[in-house]
Amino acid sequence: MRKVYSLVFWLGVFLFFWLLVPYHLRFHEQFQFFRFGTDYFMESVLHPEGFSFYLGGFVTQFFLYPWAGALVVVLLLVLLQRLVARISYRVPGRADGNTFLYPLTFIPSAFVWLLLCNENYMISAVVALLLSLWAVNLYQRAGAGNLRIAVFYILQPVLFFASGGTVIIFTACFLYLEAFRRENTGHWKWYAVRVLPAVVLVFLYPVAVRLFFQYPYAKLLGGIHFYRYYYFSYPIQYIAWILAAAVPLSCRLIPTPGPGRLRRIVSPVLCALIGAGTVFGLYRFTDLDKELLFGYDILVYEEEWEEVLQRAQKDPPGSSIEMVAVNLALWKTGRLETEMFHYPQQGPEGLMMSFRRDFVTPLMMSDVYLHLGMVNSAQRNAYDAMEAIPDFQKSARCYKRLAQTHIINGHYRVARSFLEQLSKTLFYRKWAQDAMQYLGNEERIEDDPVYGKVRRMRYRDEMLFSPQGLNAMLDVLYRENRENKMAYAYMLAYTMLAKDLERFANYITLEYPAGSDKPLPVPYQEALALYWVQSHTSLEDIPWEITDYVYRKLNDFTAAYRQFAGGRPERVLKKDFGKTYWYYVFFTKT
Amino acid sequence: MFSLLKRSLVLVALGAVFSCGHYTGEEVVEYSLPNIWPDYREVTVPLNIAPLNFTVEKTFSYLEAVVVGTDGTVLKGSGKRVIRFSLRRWKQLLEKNAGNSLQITVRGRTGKKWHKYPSFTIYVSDRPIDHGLVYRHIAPGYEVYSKVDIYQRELFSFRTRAIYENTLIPQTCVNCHSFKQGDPEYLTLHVRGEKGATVLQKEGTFRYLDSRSDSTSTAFSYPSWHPGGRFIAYSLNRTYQSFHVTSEDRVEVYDLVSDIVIYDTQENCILAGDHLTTGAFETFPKFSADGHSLYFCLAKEKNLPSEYRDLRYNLCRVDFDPLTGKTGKEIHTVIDAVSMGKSISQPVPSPDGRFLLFSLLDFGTFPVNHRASELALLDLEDGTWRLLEEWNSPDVESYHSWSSNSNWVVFSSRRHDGLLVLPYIGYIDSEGRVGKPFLLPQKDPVHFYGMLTRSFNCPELITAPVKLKLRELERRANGMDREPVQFRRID
Repeated sequence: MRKVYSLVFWLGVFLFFWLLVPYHLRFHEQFQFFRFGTDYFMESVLHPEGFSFYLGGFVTQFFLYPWAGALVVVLLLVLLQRLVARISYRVPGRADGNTFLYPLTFIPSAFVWLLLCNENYMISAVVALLLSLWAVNLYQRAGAGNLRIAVFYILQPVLFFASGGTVIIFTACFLYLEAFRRENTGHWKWYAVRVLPAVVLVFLYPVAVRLFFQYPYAKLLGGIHFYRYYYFSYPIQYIAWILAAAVPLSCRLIPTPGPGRLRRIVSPVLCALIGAGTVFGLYRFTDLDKELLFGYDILVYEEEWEEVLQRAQKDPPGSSIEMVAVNLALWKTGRLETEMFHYPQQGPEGLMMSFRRDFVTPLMMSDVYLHLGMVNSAQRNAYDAMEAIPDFQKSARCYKRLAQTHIINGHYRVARSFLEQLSKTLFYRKWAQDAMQYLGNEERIEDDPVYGKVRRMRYRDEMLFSPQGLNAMLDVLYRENRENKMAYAYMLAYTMLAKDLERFANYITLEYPAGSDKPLPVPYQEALALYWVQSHTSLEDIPWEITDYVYRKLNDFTAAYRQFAGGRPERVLKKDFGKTYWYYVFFTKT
Repeated sequence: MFSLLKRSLVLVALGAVFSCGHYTGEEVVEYSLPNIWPDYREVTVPLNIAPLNFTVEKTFSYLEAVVVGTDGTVLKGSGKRVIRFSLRRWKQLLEKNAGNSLQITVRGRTGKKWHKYPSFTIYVSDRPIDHGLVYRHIAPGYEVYSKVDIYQRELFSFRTRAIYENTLIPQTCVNCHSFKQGDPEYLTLHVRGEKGATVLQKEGTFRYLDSRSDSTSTAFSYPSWHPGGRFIAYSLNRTYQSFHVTSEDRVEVYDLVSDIVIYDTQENCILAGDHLTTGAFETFPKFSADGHSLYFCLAKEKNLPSEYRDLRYNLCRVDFDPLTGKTGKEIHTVIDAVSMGKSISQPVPSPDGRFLLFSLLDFGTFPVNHRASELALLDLEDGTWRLLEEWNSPDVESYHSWSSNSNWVVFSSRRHDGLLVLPYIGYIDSEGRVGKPFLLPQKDPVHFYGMLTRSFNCPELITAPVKLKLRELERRANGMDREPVQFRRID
């Protein structure tokens, strides 16, 4: 029966991370930069909490593939459960028959599972927890008497330096495990001399470390690498510590029920309770909105445009950054000009989001800028996103983008330095080695579908990036290279989303001069019709070719709008006109 | 005659070293100088510099170097990746050969073959460099900075210690560390952020100053200690950044407001004169060595950022009264860079008062972001100036600091990879003649510079170790315990 419980639990963990929140795992992966080699190893481990940080980074790199990431999480949680079980079974004085408490050993793993729903709870925190329990296990096996005590006092400072504050778990276990030992019962003087100093030492280690490393005392004890925003407190994580230390203790303290029915049902009941609690916790802890956002980000990065649009159709984007992804996907699939208003547009911010000092939104904007040919902006957004990672880590994804932009700009020395670091990774090595072939090879760069194209599309004349004048910047970009149709489409989209019809009418003539036979996409016709009727009584003399369909639709819209004059017609109009530009103009607040 | 004797000694020593049978296998003689990194060929170094460990930019399974001093002293260094020298023996070698030179012969092994390169020279000056180097470690980024720390590095060894790391007080940035002519007993730096203030540590006393007041445009920025130690000139800059869209340069830094005030550490009071707090842009104040003048950069007000390419600064000077802290009303233009279509930034007089080193750029105020930025030397005796071609490179040269004996300058340059700013040390004599500069030595330069992701920002030479009262800083910052500064307008 035990095996069935375990199987269900581990399968649940695997499927949850693989299928329900795979982009949470990708989120972890892209904000770390694990490299092989002694340099990185030494740099990491010669630092407080460095060893758990290093191991955490090592396993996090596999999150690039969500199935592998899910498997890694399962392995970590299995290890956690197995260690708790082993410690529980070796607690001195534990009644031999109380294996019915086995389900309790799943509680720390279940709780860590919930914690991992928070994308900022770091894998190194789990590794630190494991190291601490492994140390407890090691100490339990160290034999009797003084040797065991000596092992504890050797392991304690090492563990503090390797995995920080989780040494508290080790020390707490030490305190009660020693108290339960038969030879100690009643020998409180012995206990006070040999065991209690461990408590004092726990609080002295941070003092010692602060002589060499500059961290606040509380952080050295509470964790530097356990939560991405290391300067914020994330106290719920300490419940996992308490559980890890308390479960073995509870296995000792809970009395064994007598033989009979009660004993038989305890285990299944406990399993059911833990299972129900875990499901409830997952319901509360899982943030599917974030998963959606992370999904958009990764899909844009991997240029899975159709999937972006499928997602948007299934679950309309709720934030500007998601709309940035959708609009880029629309352009890349050739549908921006025709289907832009089929999606809930949110103003110019949903097309080109202004710079924010976080580590997520600039990454997506870096993609937008690169596709547009705004190479320096793509570079800056990637660099600043990396610098904004709160726990000071670097990012392989950002390094890749920086290498790309420097290759395009012809800064090969700088590109090489990024590529050399990427060559030390497991999953980016091949890409980096391929990219090395481009350094200084102008012909190859020109022929490349990405580098060559972006080189031709980028700015030629010097100017400063103007966040307030994105329209004008797109205008310059397009005028400097008329082949940059994306810049033109984005320029028109920007003016439409800004409801700047005057400028839109001005720009439209660049590609669709008055009297031209070139068919105008419907949203453009809608915008031009609206622009025209604002200063004319009818569309009769409009210089652009407006189709009958748009004429009729405008008349219908006007009639319907008048019908609800003074009321709130947006809900009614949405059915027939929700995908028109007019609906956007009149009913979308920007 | 002596020269011939010395050369003979070197040759004898080299012969002795290479004839001792250490090198087994076939020897291939190379005819060109080895491409070593860092490039220490023909550089001039102080007698108290740490070993110049280096690598050869060609793959060898083992590297060896033999260093022979003019006095005949021999030192061997070796390694698989990097040739390293013993710290103690290197020190002895340099001391014995101060004022002379060293001959370095490099060999590299591939399989059973040894490749022997022609020897190159390192010149050893008998003028020592200061105790150490203080620098800010910061990523060469744009607007967002994460890890920003200030370190001190002993120049006679490889020991580096943190002065301040922004992990101590999270979400802070730190900048503008400055010392009174390299004396760490007189220290000022700014901690930025919600808990930030200006740190002022003088002769053992620690102060945490809130330099913002209703009468000043901003908090303190670029500092300069008066040689007397009582006054500090600060610029008050409202600094902004814009970003270039083409490939040449990345960032443009400019000030929308830029004034200069004098801070009296004795009275805890800002002294502001009308002529240095005008609508024009006054910035980068530096006191002269005798303390009777204040150099600074001055530009006419521009409509920024649109006119950023027309923003150019002259080098100017005003008189300074060390008794009252008052600045003279007449502004003297020392170098009219604007008329040459150039801009001057970061003027730094030498402590002996003989020279003034500055950055010359095409426009703007922030040289580290301008590829065209070069170092230039003004002779304060005759008023002539020249570009320091021996120190400049095609890439950026920017921040610079003099040693207390005026013989060494540490300056920043992006020449290594075009991205990271690294510290180079150059020799200069009393006539303004300079030696080839060298990159700050590291125990394992391949590892150190290979793993480096942050620039060496604002390298400053110091005469003794810096002892920042860190616990006091932590307590005051976390308690937001900032001391207000008085303000007085002087005319």
